[in-house]
Amino acid sequence: MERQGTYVPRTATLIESVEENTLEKTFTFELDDGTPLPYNPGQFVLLTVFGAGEAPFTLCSMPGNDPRITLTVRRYPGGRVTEALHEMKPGEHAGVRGPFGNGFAMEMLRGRDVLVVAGGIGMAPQRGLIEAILRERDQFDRLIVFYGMASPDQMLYNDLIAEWIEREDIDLRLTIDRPHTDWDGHVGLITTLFEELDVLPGHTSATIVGPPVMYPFVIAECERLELDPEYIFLSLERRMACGVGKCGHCAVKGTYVCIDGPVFSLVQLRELEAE
Amino acid sequence: MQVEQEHNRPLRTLVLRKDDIRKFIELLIGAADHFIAPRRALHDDVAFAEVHSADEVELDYENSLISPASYVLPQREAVFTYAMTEGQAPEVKATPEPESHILFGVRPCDVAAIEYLDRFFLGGEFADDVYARRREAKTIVALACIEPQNEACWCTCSNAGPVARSGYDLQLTPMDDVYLVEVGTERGEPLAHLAHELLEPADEKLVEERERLIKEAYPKFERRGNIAQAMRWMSGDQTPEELWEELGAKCFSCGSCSLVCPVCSCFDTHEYVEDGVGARIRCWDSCHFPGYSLEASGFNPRENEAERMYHYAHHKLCGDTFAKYGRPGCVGCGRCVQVCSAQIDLPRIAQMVREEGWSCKDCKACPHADVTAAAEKGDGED
Repeated sequence: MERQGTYVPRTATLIESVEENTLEKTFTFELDDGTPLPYNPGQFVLLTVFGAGEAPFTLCSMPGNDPRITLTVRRYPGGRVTEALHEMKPGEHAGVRGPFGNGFAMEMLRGRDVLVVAGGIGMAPQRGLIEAILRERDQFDRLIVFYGMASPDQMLYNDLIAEWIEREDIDLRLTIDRPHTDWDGHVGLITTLFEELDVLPGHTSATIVGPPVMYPFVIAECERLELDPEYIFLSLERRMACGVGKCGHCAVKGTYVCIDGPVFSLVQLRELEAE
Repeated sequence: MQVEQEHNRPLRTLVLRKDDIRKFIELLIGAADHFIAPRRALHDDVAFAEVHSADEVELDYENSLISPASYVLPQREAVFTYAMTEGQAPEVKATPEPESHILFGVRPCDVAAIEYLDRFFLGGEFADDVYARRREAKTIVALACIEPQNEACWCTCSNAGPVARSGYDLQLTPMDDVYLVEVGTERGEPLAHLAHELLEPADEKLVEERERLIKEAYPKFERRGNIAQAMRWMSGDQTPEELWEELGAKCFSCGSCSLVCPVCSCFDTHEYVEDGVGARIRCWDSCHFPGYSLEASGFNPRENEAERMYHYAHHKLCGDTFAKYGRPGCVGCGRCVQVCSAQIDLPRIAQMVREEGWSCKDCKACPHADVTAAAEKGDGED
């Protein structure tokens, strides 16, 4: 995977950066050595902005055998790497290590209904998963996507979402937290989408990615629907400085989010809490 | 690199006359790029530093506050460097081959710590090549303790002393008028060969005599921590939340305990750039710092001291650490005892876990009743 050593990044050129909204941009990089970077949906890379530092970001492009990778990143004031990344211009260079982590276990989704729950920028990791499912659509039964955001102007991937709305093989349900003049769709927290959901509990896998505050409420809804905790998957975010289980930052007891995760089943998470 | 098994038998056992120790050191000094040994510094402190002649080496010393393990995992080191040119991809370079070091006079607790670091950095899913190359260039000459260096020493509790049973290349044990010299690995052989004129094979009686000295030394070490017992409570999560709240309330989050701990290995990375030349620097970090797990978004999964204290103690004392690395996350060096201004060093935490751990005092059905009773009597060494 890496030729020069554990911590040495491969350089990559920024091909384009697309402003998604006032907070987030989507960056497409091409690895300078031209070698593909294959990965599973839900895996992440450590991205170096030379001079600023390195931080983990989940890949959001369609997984493929491609030297191009796509990341959607929110700019956080005071976040050295995200601020510097948002200032980057096409043609400039960054460093890439990875992919790291487990990603989503596709075999736990195949042949079943899949409920994808994305809160805010949680849509970024989920996008790669949705595209992977669409690529081999007949391997899965229903595909239900819940996408909640604070307001309509925070929506990611507008063109792609418009395409998904047109498709009959995705049951896409959008919601915004509070009423907004530009919105005539569903209003309410993402949990309110569960009220009108019919699922086959024993036949449904759920993948959940969003801000930490969202998790307990969405988990409660999944439990109310009696989904099997073995088939409920959540992606955790933690601070990381290595990606290879050495720096210690992402450790939760003996488990390292970077190598054992970032995707955990609800059963695994409960074991971590109870330990 | 191969991780040594615990309790290896030495390859050879030799004898060195105490009168010849300076001659012995002098022969070893040229055998690597750098010879690192305990050296008396200002105000009588002892620190591991480079020495150029045998006279500089301190042979009677309390262990240094900073462990010689810092030569294996330095406080700061570059993991790669890069040169930036306008309009071009940066030229990224791995760090150069590290120079070789002999670490002389390493106490058994620190030998055990380096062995733990080897298992951590070289094992698991990914081996750390920066660590591997630095480690590969080290030769360890241990100096066994036949009595505690100070009242904080508690290596016997964590099975790390008073002599090293593995992890050393050479080990010297001071006896009446000789040192027993053990060659632990093939890497130690060239050193023994360099000094062959000063060394003779040891007879069985001397080896037996050393075992007797070790046995006599045991009761002299601090035992209040009783790690084995504390590990049982930590692993079974049989500790009350109030204990962690109390410890958290006392902790200053200064990180000193983990910065002096030779087993602690957490690091953070920083970027250092000057005149277009940059380096990714890794440097020690501490899970006691509030910023340790703070994310750019402002989310912090361990934002209060109680949670951080639990995380620290759990990593040191849980059975999972033992299962993965063959020992608890503590070698009993006592450094945290010396630096913790809140007096909640690891032996103290272990003691509190043992005493406050979910005990069976009121519950006859508890499967741990016998163990608890034994621990309460104070003989829970198991």
